[in-house]
Amino acid sequence: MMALEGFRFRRGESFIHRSDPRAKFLLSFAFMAMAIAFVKLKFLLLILALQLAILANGRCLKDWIRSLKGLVPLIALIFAAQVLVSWSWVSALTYSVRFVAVTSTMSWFLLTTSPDDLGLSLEQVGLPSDISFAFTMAIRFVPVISYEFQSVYDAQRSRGLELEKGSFVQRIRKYVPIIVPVFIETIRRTYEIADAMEVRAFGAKPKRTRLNVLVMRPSDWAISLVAVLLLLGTVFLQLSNAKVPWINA
Amino acid sequence: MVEIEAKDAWFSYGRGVDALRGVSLRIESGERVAIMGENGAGKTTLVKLFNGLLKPTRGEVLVDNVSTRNSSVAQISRKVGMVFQKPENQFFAETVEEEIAFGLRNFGFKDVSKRVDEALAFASLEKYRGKSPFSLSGGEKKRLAIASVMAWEPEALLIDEPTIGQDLSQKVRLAAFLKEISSRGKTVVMVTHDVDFAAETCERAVLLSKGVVIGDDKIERIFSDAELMGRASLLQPSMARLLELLGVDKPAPGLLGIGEVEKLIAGTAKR
Repeated sequence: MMALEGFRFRRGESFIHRSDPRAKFLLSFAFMAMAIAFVKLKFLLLILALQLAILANGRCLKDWIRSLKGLVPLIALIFAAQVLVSWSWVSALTYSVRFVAVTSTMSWFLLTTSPDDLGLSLEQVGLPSDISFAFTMAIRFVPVISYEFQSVYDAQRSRGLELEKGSFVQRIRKYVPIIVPVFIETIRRTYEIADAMEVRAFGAKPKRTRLNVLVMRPSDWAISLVAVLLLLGTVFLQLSNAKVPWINA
Repeated sequence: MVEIEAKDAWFSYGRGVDALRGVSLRIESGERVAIMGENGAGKTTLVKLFNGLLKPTRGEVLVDNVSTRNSSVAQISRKVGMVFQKPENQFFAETVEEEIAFGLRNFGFKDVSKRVDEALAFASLEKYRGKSPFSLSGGEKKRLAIASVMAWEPEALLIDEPTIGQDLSQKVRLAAFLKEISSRGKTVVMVTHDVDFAAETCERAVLLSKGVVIGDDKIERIFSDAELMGRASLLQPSMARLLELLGVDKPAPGLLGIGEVEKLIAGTAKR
């Protein structure tokens, strides 16, 4: 569950926290597109460094590192698989860095954007409120489910369950006593929340009013402009087959 | 027989907040102890230290004179079982008997079937043997959670908030159940806000506030100190408040039981 630590909102007052979620999403999307489109180690490291700067601005580096620790098994798996496939350490390192760069795009975005603002921005870009609400709720409940998982894990460990012992298959099977209660509790909570929303008139009016409205500031427009330029550059390089040193040459 | 001891135990969940700040206490074998205090006082954290689920960030916790840092959760749980606040947190099996057998299999017991039968009888759940644990009532679920731990006969039982969501008859039954466990020589440590239930079932109370022990004594002494109880955001039990209203200010062992109070009131009336 440590891996999820870097994907939950941390309240803050930094520049990146105060930026408009739409602008942040565009930038996050641009970073993700570049990290997926180009497989050059130096360029991927540059993308990662830029994102680390954003995380540092939001004072979220510790959370990102904690999350990275949780992702170590997956990174190791990618590294090992790549070594086996290509017999190249550089290629293995490149793909591992690419994985970290891609996951980081969502990490800094979710660490610095409150679920409320996220829902609001989705509504303001025209998504139906039911869908944006469902999306917001899904993100809001990531830490709740993470906490639930830890509680169930503790309860089963107290009854002698040792996940770290046994063969690979045995270890996978040992997750059943943890996953089943979490799954059941999540479904039960879903019904309870649906009831609680219904008794508070959710969906009674087709068009809901809003308490807050997001307004783009000049700095948000600037971030959006940079993101759009990066995206256009990525698309151009992909379609034209042009070679640029450091990026794809 | 098991002894649990915290020696200047500190615990932090990170982010600069200490959930426990230098807790020192010793729980002797066979004691019935209530750990009480306001929300966030560190009660659950403390019992998780006793069980080895959490390791102290400073100081140490000893179970039978062995530091919990040197033992796995499974090794400690074999001696110090723990029942969590929400029984649903541990249920996953299709039947009640499978749920009880889970821990026994994990610990490698050979006589699983015999122990399951005993646990079912002990918790008066025989008739639900083949039913889903999720189909039980709140009180039955709590008893099943306790039975599934008692099945391997740990020397001590830690229970987090046993009375949450329990109605009066379920509480009475639970109190009798815990007394029965205690009568078998087991140590019972409960985390609770329920002062009347604690008065009924425990002989010692430990009050925590902001991660520090602010009171640790016989339960009647702790519960008759309104100022101390107030510092832990707790109200005195109904009986203690009644006695205060009657002007009886000297607590004695057993003072909080209805029978004792009845005698005292009768004595006061005669005078």
